[in-house]
Amino acid sequence: MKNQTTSRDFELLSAYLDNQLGSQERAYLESRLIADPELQKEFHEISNTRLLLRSIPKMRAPRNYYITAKDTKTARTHGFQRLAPAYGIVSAVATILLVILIFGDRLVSSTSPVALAPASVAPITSVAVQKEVDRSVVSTSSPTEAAPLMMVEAPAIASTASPTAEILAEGGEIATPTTIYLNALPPAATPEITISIMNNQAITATISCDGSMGSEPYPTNRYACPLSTNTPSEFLQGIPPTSTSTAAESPTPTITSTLTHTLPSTSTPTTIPSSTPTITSVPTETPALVKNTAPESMVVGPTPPAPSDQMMDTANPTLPVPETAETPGNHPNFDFLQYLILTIELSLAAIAIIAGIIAILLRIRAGR
Amino acid sequence: MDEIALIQAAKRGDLDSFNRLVLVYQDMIYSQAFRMIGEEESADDASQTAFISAYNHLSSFRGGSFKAWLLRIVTNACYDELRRRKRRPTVPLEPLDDTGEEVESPRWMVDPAEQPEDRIQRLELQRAIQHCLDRLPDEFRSTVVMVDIQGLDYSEASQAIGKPIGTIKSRLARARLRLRDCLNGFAELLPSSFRLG
Repeated sequence: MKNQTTSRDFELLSAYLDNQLGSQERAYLESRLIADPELQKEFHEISNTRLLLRSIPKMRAPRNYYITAKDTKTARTHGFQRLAPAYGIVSAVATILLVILIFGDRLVSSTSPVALAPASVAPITSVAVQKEVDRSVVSTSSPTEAAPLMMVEAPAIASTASPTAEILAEGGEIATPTTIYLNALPPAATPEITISIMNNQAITATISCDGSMGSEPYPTNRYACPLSTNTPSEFLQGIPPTSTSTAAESPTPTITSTLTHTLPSTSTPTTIPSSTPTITSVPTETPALVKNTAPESMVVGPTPPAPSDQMMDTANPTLPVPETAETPGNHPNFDFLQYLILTIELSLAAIAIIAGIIAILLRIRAGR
Repeated sequence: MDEIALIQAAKRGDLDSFNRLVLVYQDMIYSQAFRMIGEEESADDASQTAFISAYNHLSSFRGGSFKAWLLRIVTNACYDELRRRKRRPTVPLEPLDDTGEEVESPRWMVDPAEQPEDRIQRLELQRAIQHCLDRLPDEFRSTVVMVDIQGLDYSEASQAIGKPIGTIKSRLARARLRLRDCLNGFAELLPSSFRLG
């Protein structure tokens, strides 16, 4: 019977040659070597191979490998080259962060229209006002939807010199966007006329008049008692005089900038554009507040001619200036954020490029 | 000055002490590198790199066999060189015969100044051994060179390679078996006293 030599047998033979076996393993292997001629042959071949390897003459170094101080500096340089993978990783991470920052910014911008339009602040105020209207007015007809129509129609109304602003008092059907600006007025600034849209049940603007307004030259009872008619000319005849200090000298009613041109006392067509035919008494003590509530239509509207009467003179100070329509502080904050993001992007791009170039150069030098 | 004192002085930055150690071990280091790589120039570079690395990392030597520690460094340097060669293979210098096989002993490689028969036979045998060593896996080659050529025992080989003694035993047995099979193909080159089989 012929036993096949296994890898375990070769390990025993190799260790036996090097005298690395224990007493038991040695006795076991010697007994097998006596009984198995095939294993004995393998043993001789492995032994000859080992002797052949050990017969190789010793080699001598071709030179002396003395170390100098220059060699140690070179070794440090080679150590620096080992940092090539680290530079590569830094470059890759910076690139990924840059891509995330760029596309993440675009993603956020696409979901946030306010962030998309940093230059135009008017939409921001419109959105804010619309939110206010949504809170204060419960109506089946959305006032925010009607707003653009009024904004377009306002200049045309003014050009016909016939006030056509329709303000439906209690029981009205449509809550015009004019209430947006009325709501923004300070509540204490309307001693004679108060137009409020806060009444959710009325849906539309509620016009309440002071009792003293009855003595004013302009009929005011139409405001105090909402008319059933829808004719703006009739309705606007009841515009009360202003409550400002100028009102005492000339009982010209002070109307918000958006409705001043619709006053019947002006024979000439008022070309002041207004998207919000709002009727209100704006105290001159608070021109800034009125300016803040100025509609954005003033920005896009035609340049109004000089008013021809005193009423327009008193109304002019309340005209909103386009620049005042901007929310204070919005631009600086946005610019800072924009510059910050831009700075981070540029820094990441610089890091990615520089680290990538260093990694490539180090790998090129290491390959030489 | 003994070896330990030289090592301690070299750790303190004494370059001369380290160079005295270099003189002691440079033949062994070069021999290990040559048997591992099989080329003189690369073995020379690997030996120089190994000594520079040893000096720069001398603080990591915690005692034990300084020879085994040096052999480990030069073996790692040889591994790096072999990996670099695998990435960028080189064309062998040996010419090819009509069948495309390498001519192991080309006529132009024979030194005309050495004509004695025994020297030729010795050179042929060395080439045959190196040829078979080159065909071993790297880990097998490093093990068999350390034990059978450099004369390290299992414990020192285990320290130099960084593997347990059982692994050394296994690698050594398999390496010797492969070498035996390879050298059987060069039976005509082997002296009669070393004929296998």
